[in-house]
Amino acid sequence: MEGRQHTGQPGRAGGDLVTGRWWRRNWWGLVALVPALALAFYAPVKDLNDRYGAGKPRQPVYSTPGGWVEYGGARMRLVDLARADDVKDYGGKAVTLAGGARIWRATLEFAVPDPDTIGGCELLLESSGGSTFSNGPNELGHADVIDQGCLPDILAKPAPGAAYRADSYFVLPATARPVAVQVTLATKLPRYARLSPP
Amino acid sequence: MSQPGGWPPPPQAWAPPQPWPQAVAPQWAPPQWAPPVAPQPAYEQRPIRSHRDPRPGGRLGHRLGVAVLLVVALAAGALLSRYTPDVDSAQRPFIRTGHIGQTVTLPDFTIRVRSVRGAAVLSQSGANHDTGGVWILVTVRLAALHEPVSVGYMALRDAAGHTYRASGRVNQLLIGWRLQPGVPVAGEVAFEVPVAVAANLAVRFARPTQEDFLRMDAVGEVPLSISDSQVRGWKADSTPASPAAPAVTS
Repeated sequence: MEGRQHTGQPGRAGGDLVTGRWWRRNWWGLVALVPALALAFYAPVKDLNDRYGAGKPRQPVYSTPGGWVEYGGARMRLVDLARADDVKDYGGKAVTLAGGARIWRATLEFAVPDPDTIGGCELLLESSGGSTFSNGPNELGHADVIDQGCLPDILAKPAPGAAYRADSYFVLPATARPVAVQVTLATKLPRYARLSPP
Repeated sequence: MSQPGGWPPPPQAWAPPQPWPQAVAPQWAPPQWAPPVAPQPAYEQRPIRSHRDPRPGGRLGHRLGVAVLLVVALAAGALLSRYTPDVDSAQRPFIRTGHIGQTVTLPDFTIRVRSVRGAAVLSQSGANHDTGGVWILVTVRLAALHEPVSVGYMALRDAAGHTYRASGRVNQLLIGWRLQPGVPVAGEVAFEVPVAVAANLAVRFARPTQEDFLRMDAVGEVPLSISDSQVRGWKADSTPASPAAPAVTS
């Protein structure tokens, strides 16, 4: 924008501001300032939003009911999702939870050349209301169950690429109805696998 | 420009006639050195006009105006920095308060302090833990709202603003317990505080594990109504108290 004074007539810039000549000369710059400022503020906000979003599971890889999906270099599917009323503690006594909370078991099947590559996965059970529940909850700390997550049985040695099954346990309130299991690998965020039961 | 009547313009300045120079025989003279002549620029050179106000007093007034503007700008900056909150104040946590028996709702979980008791000796896993102060045991019910949540910060705050984190001398299973939505869990948290401050305490809960991470985070606070006589009674009673382990509740 022009900031110089009128040639040969010193001190006229202030007068131009008052009379409107300065505005007439620089109106285009003022108009261009609006989108320039908008861009200047938009860029860092978008960058921050992208960085935040990249660390959250926001892009599901959907499966058909009981179907296989490719995620994180592995194939996986949800084989079964059902109530687990037969869970007992280490004394052989049935585990019951106050307030009508229920135990659910999800059985997943994986096929991966090296199971350790998905050993750090996070499993979440998604309910119809949109809430999520983590596997291996503290509430089942005294239950005689093994929560495998994404790994095969500790004594099993599946051949590379061979399918194996893994059980995980969840605690939900009595009113919650589970609809899917989410499998997330931190290295694959923001993508995650959303497995529907058969 | 022409004059009226078609007369030519007068000469610019009158000068007396000069005598005709007499013929002089040319005499030889050695060539004299002359300084090199600078090449003429391709553009026309004109004197730079002054940018200064030619009016009397204009220069002084302009300088005074600039000085006044500078002083005003500095004063405004000083005022702004003086009355603008500092980082600790601007990024302080958002505290929601309640009282014993009331549910305090934070964005990710709820808190309900059910009761408070005290003891001079704490017992856990067969070991007794005495103290130079007094043990404060807070029974609290926690529930996640939408996703699994861990409550990593539990502390008592006295009237002077001092903070006492949950004791590390005993296992505090409720700290870091991963709460599932809609599955409330209740348990006791043990704190060790000086006797002098035990009668004026509030308990705080938040998600972060470090106090530094409480900036701009949600914190639930519940004042504990403890009397001096209660503190004296707890301190005098040597019966060990065992903190209740977390359990699913209704």
